[in-house]
Amino acid sequence: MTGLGLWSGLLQAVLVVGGSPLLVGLMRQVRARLQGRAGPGVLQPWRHLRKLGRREPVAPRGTSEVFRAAPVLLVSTTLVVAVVAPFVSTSSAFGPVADLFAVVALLALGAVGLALAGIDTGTAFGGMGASRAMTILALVEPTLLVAVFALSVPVGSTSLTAIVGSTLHDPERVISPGSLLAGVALLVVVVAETGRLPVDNPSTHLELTMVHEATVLEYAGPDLALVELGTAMRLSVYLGLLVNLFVPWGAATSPGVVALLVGTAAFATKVALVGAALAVAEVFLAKLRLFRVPELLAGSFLLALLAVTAAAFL
Amino acid sequence: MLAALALTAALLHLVGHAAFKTLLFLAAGSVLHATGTRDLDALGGLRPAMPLTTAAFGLGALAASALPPGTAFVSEWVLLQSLVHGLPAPGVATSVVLPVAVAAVALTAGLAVATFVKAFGIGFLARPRSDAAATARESPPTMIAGMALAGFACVGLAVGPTLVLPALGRVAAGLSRSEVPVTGATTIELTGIAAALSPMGLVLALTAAAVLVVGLPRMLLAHRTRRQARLWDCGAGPLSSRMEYTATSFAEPLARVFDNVLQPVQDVDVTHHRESRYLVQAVEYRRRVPDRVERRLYGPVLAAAAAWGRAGRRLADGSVHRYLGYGFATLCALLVLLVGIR
Amino acid sequence: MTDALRIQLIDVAAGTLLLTAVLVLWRRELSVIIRVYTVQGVALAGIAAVLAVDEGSAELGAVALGVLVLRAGVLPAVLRRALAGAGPERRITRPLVNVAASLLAAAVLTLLAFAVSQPLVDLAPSATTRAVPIGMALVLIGFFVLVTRRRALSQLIGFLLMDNGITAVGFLTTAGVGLVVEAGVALDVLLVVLVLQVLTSRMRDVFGRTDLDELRELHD
Repeated sequence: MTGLGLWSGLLQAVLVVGGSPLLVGLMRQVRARLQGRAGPGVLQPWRHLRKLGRREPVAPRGTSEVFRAAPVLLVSTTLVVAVVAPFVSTSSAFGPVADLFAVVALLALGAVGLALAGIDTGTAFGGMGASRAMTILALVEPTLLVAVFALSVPVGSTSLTAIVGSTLHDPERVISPGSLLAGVALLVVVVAETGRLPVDNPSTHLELTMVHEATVLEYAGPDLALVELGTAMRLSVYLGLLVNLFVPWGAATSPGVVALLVGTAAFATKVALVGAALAVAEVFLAKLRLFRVPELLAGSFLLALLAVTAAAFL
Repeated sequence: MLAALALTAALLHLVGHAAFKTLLFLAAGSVLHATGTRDLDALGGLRPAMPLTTAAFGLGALAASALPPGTAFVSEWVLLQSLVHGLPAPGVATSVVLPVAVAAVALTAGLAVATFVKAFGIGFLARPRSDAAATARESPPTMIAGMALAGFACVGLAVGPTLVLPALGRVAAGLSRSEVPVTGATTIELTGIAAALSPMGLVLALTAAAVLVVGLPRMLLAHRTRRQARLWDCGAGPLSSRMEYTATSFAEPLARVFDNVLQPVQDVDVTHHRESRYLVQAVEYRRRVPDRVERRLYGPVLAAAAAWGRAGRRLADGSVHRYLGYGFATLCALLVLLVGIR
Repeated sequence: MTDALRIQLIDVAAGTLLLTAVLVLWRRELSVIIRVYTVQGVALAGIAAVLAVDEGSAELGAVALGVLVLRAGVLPAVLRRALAGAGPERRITRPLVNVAASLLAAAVLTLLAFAVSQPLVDLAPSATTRAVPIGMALVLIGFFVLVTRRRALSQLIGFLLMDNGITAVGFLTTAGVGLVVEAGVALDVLLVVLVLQVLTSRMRDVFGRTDLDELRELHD
């Protein structure tokens, strides 16, 4: 635990909580512009959250505390990851939690909470969403862990700070075949885990295509605000991990106001760029049929496995 | 060194299993006691009537599904560390087997998560799917006490696996004649591997974050009481428990993904009206997932054992002369054998 | 050309070879598969060209040019012609093994290729020979496509993948097998493709489709 780590952890918490809705707003705005609409502006998600926060809390009849605890669990697991991951600097606020396996499992815990909440409502929608979400989660897991494996082989550690730090010192590694393949595999994983196109459509309200939306259908008011905030934070945390594992440049390596500010700005810019690129790609994509998703995941698993092979043999 | 680490992971997994499987079985027994059924499709809605059993099963499910903060997560983490760091070892076999092993562990973990979400969510949450589940009562205190005991072991292992890990590490080190692979008082540190995990820190961080997430909005926003509201029923009247997702429907997408492996048998019978072929009177849908391991592996083995048994019974027909004859034949055969090998 | 750049280029070309082979397994539309095959031809020619520049051999340069013309020009054009004759509804393949399973099979085959060719690489470890397993994987994946695809045209592509793999292994191990041999092989491949194209169109005339399982009828 270092001063640099603590300060960057604090900065990251503020940045992720405050910036995630802006990231979602940016992505929606990019899509709107490309589709020829004016768009509601980047600040719209924050306005939406403010509106929801002022509403009266609602408990659907027959739901238990699982339903009420799930949004809190979603936001707090994501918050822990946002604090401990080396985003702004190469140091972590709490090293023994900033392990790639632990971080990935923490993010999965949030998703599991939401799935249980979906079942808890007892509606067909909730059960359907939970069932689909868990199917995708179970199939994503092999890709995710094998890609993590590929990233940790050249470094010799699964600690996030070690991977980020060593990539920073050895930039050539990023364009090695193993790293590139792992990058593509992780991109597919991130898309699947955050419920973006082509695995899930975040703007759909049609039961045939809903995955995430179906599980959270019964939330209203402040609970819905937490769910939306948590989902946005998940997106930016996943994109942040992706960005900093492969292009960590700009992250602060020494304590100091200037270094931390540069690190913050660099991180925000990188995530915004990747998010905008993802939004541009989504304009050209249609949602996959649910039973075509395993093909996509099998493909990304193949890439992850090749990444390990490349790291081992090349 | 890594062998010792993997062995430590296996031992920790064993200890964890002892805790959470006990808990899960006791909770399942409690449910069986209260409802008289083991059919997940007939359960549901047990949470208001059986809060303690629900909590116990939830704890066990968390521990079993390899999610933090759970017991199985720690042992999975140690196992993955030993697999990941085995790659630099020379040999083609390791570099082929290890990634496949990691993928297998990961798929197992993913499927375990789906399984326990199904078991806990469908079994205890939502609304009852049968009368037996609707009239369930909490089990007697003696059953609760058993669950509590196993539950404390689960919590202890999840928060403080470092209490038992060094001892297990010493056992593993002794067996594989290497250094002790695991050290640390609150943080798990691995010898020779730059990796550390603090289960207690993880729990504390999660608690702190949850307090923050609950507390901050309360300070900023005016607190209002929760209003009860109807569930969204598409405007079609009250929802019945027949509309809920069941365990079978929950697992259907996964079962379909692994269609080639499971090979379910399903058939659809459509009964038409007598007046017209175009009007459907009833549709009957049957789906069964036969256990392929049982049919293909256990079946033949059991059949072979039974055939041997039948053959053995024919040898023993109760005649004393025959039994004496066996002894005599064996003696002679031994003597012939002795002559032969001399 | 610097050493690092050469290694980088070989790696990129070999990676493209493997990625295109995977894409052939992944995609269903035959037109897309043919386009992917074209890209693979370019990557193969790229390997030959890098080796040619590296060794300063004009002969190898000519081979690279030949590979480019044949595998990224002539063969895709022939395939496209065969596809155009197939009619609009026949442009999607339906493999015998589903896509997810064949992708997993490709993963296993690639691991096998790496494991099998490790002794070969150890004979003379260098940047070029370290890419040999990828050529081997290409051969195996091509064979897999040949086995599991129903349509004559997609089987043809499997055959061409195998051929690309063999050529790649040839380049990477021996830096080209000579202009004459290469030209002979190329003519051979062209001939096979033309013959199969004629066969395909005849099959379509007789059976109305090109599902190779229809040939079983000839047996009865």
